[in-house]
Amino acid sequence: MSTDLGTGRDLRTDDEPEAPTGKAVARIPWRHRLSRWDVRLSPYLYVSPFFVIFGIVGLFPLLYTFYVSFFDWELIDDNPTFIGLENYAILLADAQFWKTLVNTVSIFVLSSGPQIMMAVLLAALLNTRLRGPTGWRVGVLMPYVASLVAIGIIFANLFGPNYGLVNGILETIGLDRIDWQADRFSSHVAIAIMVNWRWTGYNALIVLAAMQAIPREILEAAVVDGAGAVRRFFSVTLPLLRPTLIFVVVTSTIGGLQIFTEPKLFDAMPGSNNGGSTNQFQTITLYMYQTAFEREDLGYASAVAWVLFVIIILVALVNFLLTRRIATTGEGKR
Amino acid sequence: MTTQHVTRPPATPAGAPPRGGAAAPRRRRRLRTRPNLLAGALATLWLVVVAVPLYYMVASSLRERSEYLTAHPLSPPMSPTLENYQTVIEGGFLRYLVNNVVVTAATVGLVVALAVPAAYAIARSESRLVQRGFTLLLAGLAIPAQATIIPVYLMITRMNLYDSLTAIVLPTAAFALPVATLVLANSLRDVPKELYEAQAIDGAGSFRVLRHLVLPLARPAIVTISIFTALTAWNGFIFPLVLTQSEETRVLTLGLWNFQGQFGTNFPALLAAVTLSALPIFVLYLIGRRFLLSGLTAGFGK
Repeated sequence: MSTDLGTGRDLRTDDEPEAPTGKAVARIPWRHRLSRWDVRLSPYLYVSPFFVIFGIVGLFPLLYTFYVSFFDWELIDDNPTFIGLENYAILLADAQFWKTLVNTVSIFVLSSGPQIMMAVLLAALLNTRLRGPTGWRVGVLMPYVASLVAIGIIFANLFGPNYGLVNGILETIGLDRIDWQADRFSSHVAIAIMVNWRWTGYNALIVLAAMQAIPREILEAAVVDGAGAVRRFFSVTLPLLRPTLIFVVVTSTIGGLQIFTEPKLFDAMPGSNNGGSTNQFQTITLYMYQTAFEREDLGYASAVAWVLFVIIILVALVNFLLTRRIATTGEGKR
Repeated sequence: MTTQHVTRPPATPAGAPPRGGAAAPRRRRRLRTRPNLLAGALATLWLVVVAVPLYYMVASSLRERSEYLTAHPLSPPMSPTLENYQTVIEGGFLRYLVNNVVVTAATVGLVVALAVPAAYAIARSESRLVQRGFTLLLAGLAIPAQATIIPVYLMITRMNLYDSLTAIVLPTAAFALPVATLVLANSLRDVPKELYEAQAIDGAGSFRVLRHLVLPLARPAIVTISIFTALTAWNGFIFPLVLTQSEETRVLTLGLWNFQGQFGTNFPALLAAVTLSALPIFVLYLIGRRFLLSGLTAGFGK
């Protein structure tokens, strides 16, 4: 490799001294590009190991899941049988699948909605004049650092039916104990609280960064116009935060729809994949895991995985288009 | 999005707003001149919510088993004991810890080794293919790891890697790579192009540029992605769960999960194990908090 990136860059700058921006660079004639083909080899050399690993372990498995979903494929099976769309046909009539889908969406709604509202509120609080801003942020991000397994174990304890702290508090303030694991809705609430505890601070810091990037002239103009703090927040800050908010929504969608560890560890029976005695808090991912590695039906589990993936992509795509639109509007306002 | 990456903006983001820098507090001071007690109180409330489960974890792990059943969960331990920690350490905890350190170190090493050259190429090359690849990489951010677990399992077994630490490292690194490369590429874009040109005039080859310019300049970003990757690897659960089996290859998260069944109702011992497992990562977090906080927003918002 005799040529390199640095030289290539330098050549171009020599040839076109008037081209400081990227747009001008793109207008270099094709012939010119071709003559420097050698210059371009080293970028590929640098970038290829990354794509080899990423392709083998990231992208390929995704397509392979699709392939496996057309087979009757047992866990230890060297000759799987091709059955076409049968797995998907069974899936549509599978009551447990629909139950897990409802559970997943229910937990997702219970977690994402409150979580993002709390994150914005928390970011607004941290954006005021508080002493020791770093200390606050370190504290707020703390739950993100702990492992999901650790959090799952702690919260399964806190929500324990007999000695749990939460039921203790409920009793102290004169309410009835709740069997958090047994009831469908309460188990969803408990798992959502677990999720929110971990992610609220993380999202708050992302929103906070966006808040601090708002030019102060805009806020000062609002002050001059006589807008109070609350009015400023809703009429100035919040609209300018929309791109960031949508980003937070998209990432929490991708994460929230494939929630696995929390419901697995929440189960009163350690090691169980049922998500409660009547699957009351089994999520799609947990169901997929159970199908693949407990019932050893890889083909069917792949169909579940692929349906989950399509759902996630659809939701993420809607959000992405929304982001672009709103982000453009935001630019216009500025 | 694509055009944004192909047509690169000038190397120094003159219009980039200061983020959490010196300008921010000044702005706030102009708007509000008195300390905001209400905001402080509410923010403190959230910190209490954050702290209670962590306090519960540590306090319970120091209790005797009989005390755990009778005492109020939030009272301080009556006679603090390290007995639970002893139980945990005798239960094979140290082996899990060593496995975890190995997996984390190998994953971070692999991610840095692959992401740095890739990010350098993405930030500096005009090649259309490299930029297309970068768009593909962004799509990789959306691939849910859980949905690909079955083929990952099949591949690992076919490669005869099942039940080895390598089996955990490879997929963990692969799913950490997109974010790491994105963060690094963004930080390398901010390097003034004059620096690269100066190196080229000195006759430096691209490898020398990588070693003497890119590596030193990207050091904060490298620390950031290392911490993020270390967090992911340290806390990973589904890959170890699916890809390993025996006690020799058990990592901490699996060990904890195993303790949950093994200790049954011995919650103090279980919480001692949880505390021990979280301790190293909390220490790492406190040391590297500056890089972690800046890395949160490095991936987007430019």
